[in-house]
Amino acid sequence: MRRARTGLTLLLPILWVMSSAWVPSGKAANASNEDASAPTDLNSLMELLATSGGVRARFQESRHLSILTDPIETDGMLYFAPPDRLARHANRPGRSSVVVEAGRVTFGDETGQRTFDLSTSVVAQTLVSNLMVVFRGDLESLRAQHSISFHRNGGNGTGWTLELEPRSRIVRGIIERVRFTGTGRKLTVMETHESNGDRTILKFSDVETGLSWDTPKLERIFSLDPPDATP
Amino acid sequence: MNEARVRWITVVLLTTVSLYAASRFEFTSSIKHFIPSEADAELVEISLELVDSPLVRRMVISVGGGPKRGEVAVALAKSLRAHPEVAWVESGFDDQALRGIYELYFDRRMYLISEDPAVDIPAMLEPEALAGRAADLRRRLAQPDSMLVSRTAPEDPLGLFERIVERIRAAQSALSGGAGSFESASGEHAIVLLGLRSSPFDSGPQAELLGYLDSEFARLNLAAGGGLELEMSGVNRIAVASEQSIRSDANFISAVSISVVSALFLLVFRSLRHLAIAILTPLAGFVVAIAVALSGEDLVHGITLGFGFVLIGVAIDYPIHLMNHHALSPAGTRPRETVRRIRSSLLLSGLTTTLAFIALALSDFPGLREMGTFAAIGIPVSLTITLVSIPAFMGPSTSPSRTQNALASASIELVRWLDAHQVMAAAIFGVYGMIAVAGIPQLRWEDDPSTLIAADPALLAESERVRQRIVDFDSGRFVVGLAPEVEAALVLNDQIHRRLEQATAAGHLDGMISLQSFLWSQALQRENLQTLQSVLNLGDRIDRAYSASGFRRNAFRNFDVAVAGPQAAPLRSEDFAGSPLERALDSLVELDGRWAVVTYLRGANSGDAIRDALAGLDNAYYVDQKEIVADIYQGYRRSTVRMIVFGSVIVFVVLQLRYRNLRHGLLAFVCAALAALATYGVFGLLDVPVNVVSAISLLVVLGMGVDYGIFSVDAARSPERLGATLSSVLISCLTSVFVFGALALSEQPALRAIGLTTGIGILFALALVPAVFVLARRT
Repeated sequence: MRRARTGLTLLLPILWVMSSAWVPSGKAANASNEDASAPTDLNSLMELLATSGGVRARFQESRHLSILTDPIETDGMLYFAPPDRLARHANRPGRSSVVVEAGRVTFGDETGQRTFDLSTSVVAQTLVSNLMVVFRGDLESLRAQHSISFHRNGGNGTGWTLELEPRSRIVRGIIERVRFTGTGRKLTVMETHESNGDRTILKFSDVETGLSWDTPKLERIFSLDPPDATP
Repeated sequence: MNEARVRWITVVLLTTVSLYAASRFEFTSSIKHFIPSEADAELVEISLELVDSPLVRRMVISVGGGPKRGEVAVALAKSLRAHPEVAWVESGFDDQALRGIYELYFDRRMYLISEDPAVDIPAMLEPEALAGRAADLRRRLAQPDSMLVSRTAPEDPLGLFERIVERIRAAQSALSGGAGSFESASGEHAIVLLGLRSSPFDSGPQAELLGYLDSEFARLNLAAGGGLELEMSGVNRIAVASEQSIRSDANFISAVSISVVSALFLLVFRSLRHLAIAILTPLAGFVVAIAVALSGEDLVHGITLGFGFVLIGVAIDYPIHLMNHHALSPAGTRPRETVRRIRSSLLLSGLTTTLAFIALALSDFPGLREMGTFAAIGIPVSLTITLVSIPAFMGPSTSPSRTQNALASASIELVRWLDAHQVMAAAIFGVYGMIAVAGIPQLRWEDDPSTLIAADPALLAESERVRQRIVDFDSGRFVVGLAPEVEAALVLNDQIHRRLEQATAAGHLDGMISLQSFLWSQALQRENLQTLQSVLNLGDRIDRAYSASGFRRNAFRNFDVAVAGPQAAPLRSEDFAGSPLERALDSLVELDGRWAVVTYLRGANSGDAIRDALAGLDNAYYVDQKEIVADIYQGYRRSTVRMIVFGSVIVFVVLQLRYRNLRHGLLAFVCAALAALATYGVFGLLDVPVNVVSAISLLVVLGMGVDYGIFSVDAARSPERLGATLSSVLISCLTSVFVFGALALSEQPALRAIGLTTGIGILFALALVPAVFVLARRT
């Protein structure tokens, strides 16, 4: 029987989702076309991201914690289906999955599974809804939640950096800032800096965008019984 | 005083009393009314206190049937918070609540490690155990939900706070879930827990709240597109439904009683005026009795009101006798002359009936005492009205109706036949005796007070469905620890919890809901801290074990510092005030200057096993409310039977004093006694269960049966009154039987028991009347 966790542990998957916030990038196969679409400002970047459609990518995550001598490395696959579905299926060091769907978060690993609603926490709701807002290129909502700074990297190149600083005091107590780095439509790195000095670096590769899945496939991807973890 | 003035005074007095009663009219359906007030046993006191404790003053609301259930439940909870009858609402933990739990416990984590710190803490700090914990922490940090773990780990490498959170989670009756609301174990229903300000038996505010709840849900459901289903569990729902049932029964019974009595009057007296005059008598008794009952601070019970209608059947006998005798008197006889002729019979019957009800008024049951007082006031008032006021409304006698003549003639014929066959008269007594002898040994007593008040089966089923959606305790079964002070009570609770854990491990219990999940005694908390502080080189031990799993050295020095000098004092009950866990303290109850800690049980199938588990713990008790109250009722039922015997002896003595003739006194009495015994004989033969209310109802049979006996014996001493007396008894008996017959149709078991017992008993008494007359005349 499924049992939802209560108490502080409820927040944890949400916070992870936030820490792993990821904005899809274009597929490497059509990168030349997408890279040519260099965003000149925040508006053009959001317009680019809004056209990403369904996304699949490999991720490599490094968690640098002050209490550990070495970072914790995790890798796996990440999926996004507009407007509000997100799945992360990790292979290493252990198998685990997190699925966000219709405002509900389900987490599962070898110890079991638990489900909760995002609205149980204003913090979680804010963080995850922001991620969805980025996916949709909803600049207005993003601005409502964050102070945003956009920089172009390197003269006439297509590189850019987007820095988000949470406006909410409660959220800021956990997350200091999130930095996205990308080229054209392609997101390459996301760094999450926590207020206690810990940070998480998420690198993306083998990115495919503009995907669409039929219903059985969608149900499989956004479940705890994921498809093949390698794209 | 002239008759017109008597009429005016009567009308004005009754109108005034009626207005007073109407202005204060309010009643209750609490089962507490049927629990003895003078219970001296400690467990009974505790049990009674907890019948109305905060733990009972709550509702569980379930919303299901669609994906918007969570949103609607949260909106409903928000709306209910503003209702004046709602003390608190819990629909789930939000950020603020989670922060509240963190603030309450995190700095106290080293106080709440183990209930057996001397054993568990050293074991926890063994190198192998620490290495296991380090590996586990490392694994947790690799999981997606590691962000908060990584923030608390430096100060809590042993996961002490997480253990506390897990204890709290396990103790919750509902689980956090959808849309900010609790949800059922299956995840298909959103759950809201609600606390009541008033007693759940206080039907006024409860009915208003339930109405508000229904209308708010209907509004929110409509706004959400409809299709959602609201189900609830709560004592207040059952109480309100019971009250509505009682009210409906009271209306039905009164309508039937008044209709039948009216029809009978029209048939016999052929006069609506006589009907109006006759109804004045029981009405006066009822109104005065209810005004007296309502003048106190306690609410009148609905069952008492139903019983009050019995007065119609009893008290209307007096004007029936008066009017029937008057009608059969020579033409032109003045009413007060008729009163003078039958006054002594009426006074004696009123006296014996009142004495019988006074015995009931001495009961230890508040509900029964109320019924007894009600009747003991109503009967004399009715008799007074009959003797003083009713004649003022009657004119000189004219010719009797054909029905009256026919009844009088038939009665005389029946008596003549019996007189000629006196063996038959004696045989009736023999038959009654045989029924009593054969049936009474087979009587089946029902001593569960909850069977006295009917609850809607659909409501009970709904309540059970809702209860099964959460992790709820067994109602009415708990363990309680008593101590003069809070700390002593908590120390006792530490021990109780340990014993019950053992009982759970042994399979005697499925689980428990204990204060221990939230609060331990200060002594146990300090013992935890001291045990941890006494560990030599705690920081080094942790460093050694954790560094082998890739943790930096000195990463956990803050924990060492916190152990050496905790940031907070041990947790106290006062610390819960205003916290999200404030409701947990509901199980710590002050009872008459002492403190009781209540542990509710789940799946406690064997009371003996729980008692064994608590053996040797002073002031720790296993309480099974149903068992206790059944024992009490059994005791009071026996006491009531003794009281009836005692009342019968008094009535018998009064009859002997009145007649100064053993045979006449005995015959006047035996009519009632045999009718009562034969009634119980029938119940025994037909396997009709009897209860304390049935026992009390025997008093009514005794009272009315003695009336019939008195009228019969008096008629035997004045044969010219034979026809009038016997026909009066027949009319009044039929009136009573129809009234009590209506009670037997009630959905309320208590009223039904009264109706069956008295209806059958009075019929038995009526059948004895001619035989009593014949045997009395022989002397």
